[in-house]
Amino acid sequence: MLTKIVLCVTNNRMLAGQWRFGRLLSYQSFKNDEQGHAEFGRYLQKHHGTEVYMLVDAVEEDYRLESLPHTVGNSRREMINRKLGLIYRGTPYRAAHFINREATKRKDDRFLFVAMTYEELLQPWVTQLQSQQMPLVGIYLLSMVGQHFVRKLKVGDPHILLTERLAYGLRQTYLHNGRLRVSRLVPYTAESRNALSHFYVTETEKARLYLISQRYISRETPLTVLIPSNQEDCLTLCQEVERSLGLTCNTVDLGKLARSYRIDPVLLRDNPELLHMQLVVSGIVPDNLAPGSLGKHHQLNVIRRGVNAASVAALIAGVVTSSILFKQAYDNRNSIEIAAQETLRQQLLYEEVAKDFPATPIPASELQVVAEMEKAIAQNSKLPHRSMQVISRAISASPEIDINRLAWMLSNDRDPKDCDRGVVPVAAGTSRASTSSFTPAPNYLYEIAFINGEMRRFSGDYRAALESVNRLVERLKADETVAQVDVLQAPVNVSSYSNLQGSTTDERTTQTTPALFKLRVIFNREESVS
Amino acid sequence: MKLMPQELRTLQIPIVVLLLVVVSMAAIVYFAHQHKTETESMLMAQESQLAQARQRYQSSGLEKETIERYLPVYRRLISEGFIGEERRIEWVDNLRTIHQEKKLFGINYSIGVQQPYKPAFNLNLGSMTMFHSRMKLELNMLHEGDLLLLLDELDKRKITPFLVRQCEINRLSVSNFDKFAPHLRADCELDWLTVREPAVLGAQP
Repeated sequence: MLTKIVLCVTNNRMLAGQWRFGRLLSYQSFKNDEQGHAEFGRYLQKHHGTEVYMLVDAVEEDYRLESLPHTVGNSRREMINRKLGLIYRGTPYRAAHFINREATKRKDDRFLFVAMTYEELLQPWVTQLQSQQMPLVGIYLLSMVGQHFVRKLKVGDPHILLTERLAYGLRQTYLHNGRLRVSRLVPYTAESRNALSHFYVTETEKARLYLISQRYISRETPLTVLIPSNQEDCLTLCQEVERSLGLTCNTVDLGKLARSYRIDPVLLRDNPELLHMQLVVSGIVPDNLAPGSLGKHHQLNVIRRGVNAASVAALIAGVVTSSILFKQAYDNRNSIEIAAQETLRQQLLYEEVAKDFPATPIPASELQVVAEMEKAIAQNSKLPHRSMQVISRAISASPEIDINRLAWMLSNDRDPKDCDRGVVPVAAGTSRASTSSFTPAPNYLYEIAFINGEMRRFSGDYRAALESVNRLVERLKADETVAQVDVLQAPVNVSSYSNLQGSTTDERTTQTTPALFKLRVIFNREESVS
Repeated sequence: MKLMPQELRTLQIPIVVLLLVVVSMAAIVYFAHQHKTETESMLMAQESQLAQARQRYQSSGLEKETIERYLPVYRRLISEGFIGEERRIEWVDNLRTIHQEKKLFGINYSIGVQQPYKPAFNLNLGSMTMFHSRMKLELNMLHEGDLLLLLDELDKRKITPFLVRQCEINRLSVSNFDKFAPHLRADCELDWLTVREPAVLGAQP
């Protein structure tokens, strides 16, 4: 991951460079023959497991601008793959580079389809990589890296012909608004090496005519020729192009760019591809031409690295989280210890003070509870004296009434009931005579008395009996200790809600039914003496 | 990308390591969390103890005052039989004594099984538990004053506190007039109340 190998394959050789932490460590050249392939195999053995990027700088390249309907996701991928298959049926090394969306009409997506059409050129090198199970990240066209020079150097001309003198030949790349449109590699010949300026001028003119013929530019289009200054005669060549073709020609200082990547500019004289390789190491990775099967080992590497990274992340997260938790637990322990010491100190202080306390079997608070409990019970513990005195006073003024039964109880019920089952209640006055309007205060026991009586020597005079009972009720009600008096049973029931029967000769008969009645007396709260 | 079994094997060790790391880290984090939670609970408990100890020390003056004020009351209540075991023998003895001294007719009594009691009125029991034993009294009377006399005497003797639940007086039907024969009959129910301290609870058969 920290070490990378970048290869640059040309028609006659392959340049392999090893980078660590983004810095070039070494580079080595392998001839494109059997011996070179074998040496490359041994080289790979030494760097087993290192990620490999492969740049291709070959004559057999193809560039094609295509417009496709705008799609996204799988549809886009499938459409592009189908189109690539149609156009480049004979080679697996192909890719589609998205340029932009058209501004008008259907707003199609514009792609630059690129391919390396000479599969056999890569075959021996790829075979070595496969046999060594090297993680091949991808295969890229060198021309696609070259366009990044222009962006890095911020050259803003809309029509640029980047003319690079590489190891195998002269690469001419046409850039429109900084984006690659087409590129070609012209191999050196013996004549061209001897007459370099003529070679430059001739090939530049050929390229210009090609661009015009393909309608990339018109004859009037101002084409800027850019010549990287990695050679001493660049300026002379540029002047020659300007003079011969009437084009604008500029040199670009690659040395400055190389130094910014910590590459000795001197190295670029013999191996100018090293700068392209450095850019790839630095993260400028163009579209991958390699089919998926070639990148399997790399994918495995990525997965393995991901799994390892997840392990490390889990380890770090676990260690950090548990450290924080343990630290909090440690702090808690310290706090507990401090609190325990302080508690002990407070207890000692208390024990020192408590030495003078009288010995008590239960805590002081419980002593108080018990004392208050006794007081509360005493307040609620009532005897029937008061109620019996009140009833006695009321009865004494009614000699015609006999009391057969007196029941007394303590209750907090809203409608207290007598436990006497022997008496059949006869409602007096209204249908709801026995309903109590008494509202007891909560948590207080009221004295309730039930009086069962009858008229002494009753002769059948119900009116007199009723009046007598009513007088008794009034006398009871008049007492200030009485809260409520209810007639539960009257001597005669005159309610319209019940039957009434008897005989007008009752007064003359010796056997009369007794005139029974029943009262309920509820007493007021007894104010505590304390 | 389809992976062959041979290629998958290269991922075995990283995946096993990942699983081991995840499981062990989860275990460590769980243990650490448990440990932290445990210490937090312990700290809360200790701080609560500290607060109580501080409070106890700060209110020690008041505590002393409370003890001095209520300890005699507590001792008296023990001696009166309100706190601790029931004194049924004393209740019965008192009934006999009242019967003889006040020349009442015979008093029939029955005392029920002691049971926990929740009063109908406000009563702070603290950590104590209250019990009651229900006593039923039946006595014949010349007049209703006999009942009041009996209840008064029980109250005056300061034995265990009691609550009169209910009393019922019925006129007896007498065939011939005899001024020394009972004319009334009283049926009463009393609750004898006792409390027990928490440490004593459960010690009874």
